[in-house]
Amino acid sequence: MSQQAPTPRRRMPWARGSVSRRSVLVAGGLGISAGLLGCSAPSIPGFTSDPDEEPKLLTVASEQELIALYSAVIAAIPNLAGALDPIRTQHTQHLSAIAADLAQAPEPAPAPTVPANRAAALNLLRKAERTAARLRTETAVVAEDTEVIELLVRIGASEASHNAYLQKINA
Amino acid sequence: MSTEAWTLVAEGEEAAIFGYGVLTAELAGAERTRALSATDAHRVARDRARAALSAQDLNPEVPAAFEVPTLTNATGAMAVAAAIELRLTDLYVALSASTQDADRKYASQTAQETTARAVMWGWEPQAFPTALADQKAPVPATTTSQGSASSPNDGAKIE
Repeated sequence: MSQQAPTPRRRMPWARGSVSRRSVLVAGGLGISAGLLGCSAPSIPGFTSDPDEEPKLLTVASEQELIALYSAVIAAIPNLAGALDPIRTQHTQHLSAIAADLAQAPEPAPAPTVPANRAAALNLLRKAERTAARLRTETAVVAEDTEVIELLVRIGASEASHNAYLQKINA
Repeated sequence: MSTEAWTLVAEGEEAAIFGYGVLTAELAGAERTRALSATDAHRVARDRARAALSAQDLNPEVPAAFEVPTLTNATGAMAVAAAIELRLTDLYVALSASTQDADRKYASQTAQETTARAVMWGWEPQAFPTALADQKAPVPATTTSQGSASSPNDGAKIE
């Protein structure tokens, strides 16, 4: 495909008009608050040295929310610790991998309120994993660096597998 | 670059269809149903990869046979199924990095599907899913003589 029609390596959404990549991501229903990014971004969007800074920051915020969610569920239902601790650890590994070269250390997300009912809590986690996996795909589509794309896709695959795992332990 | 990735995906999907054809015989009940459903998904994915290659006027030759580890029970069959899926996860991750826009989105979504199926076959989730070290996925029978790394000792050539 790309062999026959020489095109720029990326058709960047923000180059099509006045729409910035941030507004594309946020308008895409990805659910991460622009305010949070605004606070933590160390420099002006579009003028950073890392073209994938925004995809990384979106992912950092999302992983922090997942970690906080797992911690809250484990605190509310200690019986689930054995099953959920390994998954929470994997989200910490996602966070470390994606935040590795960010200028600013990420702030932990606030603890969310979670249901005390086991099935309801697991369903909440499944929904969060599905949302996260979708977000990784959307973010990978706008990322530029090959390693960042592969990392985001692999993290999304991990999160899709978490959803399947939670389905199994909830059965 | 995307040509190579699509070619590997097309071959990987052929290997998956072949492998599921062998391993489904060892399964019954819900697991058999799941294997048949996975086979359908891999046919659709194989067709999509071949369509992507046809659009580039390419029709790469597909190996006629694949080597599948010897199966004696459902547990072994499920392990091979998980290996098939995780090998495809790697191929779709590579595809995502060599494509753009809709194709990259498709590659990412399919990597998620293959990895989720691996869990349903008994694989424990990992932070960075990748093919199993002790590779059990079917490999083209024509390449198995090239090295023992891709040729399980207990493998049986099936044609």
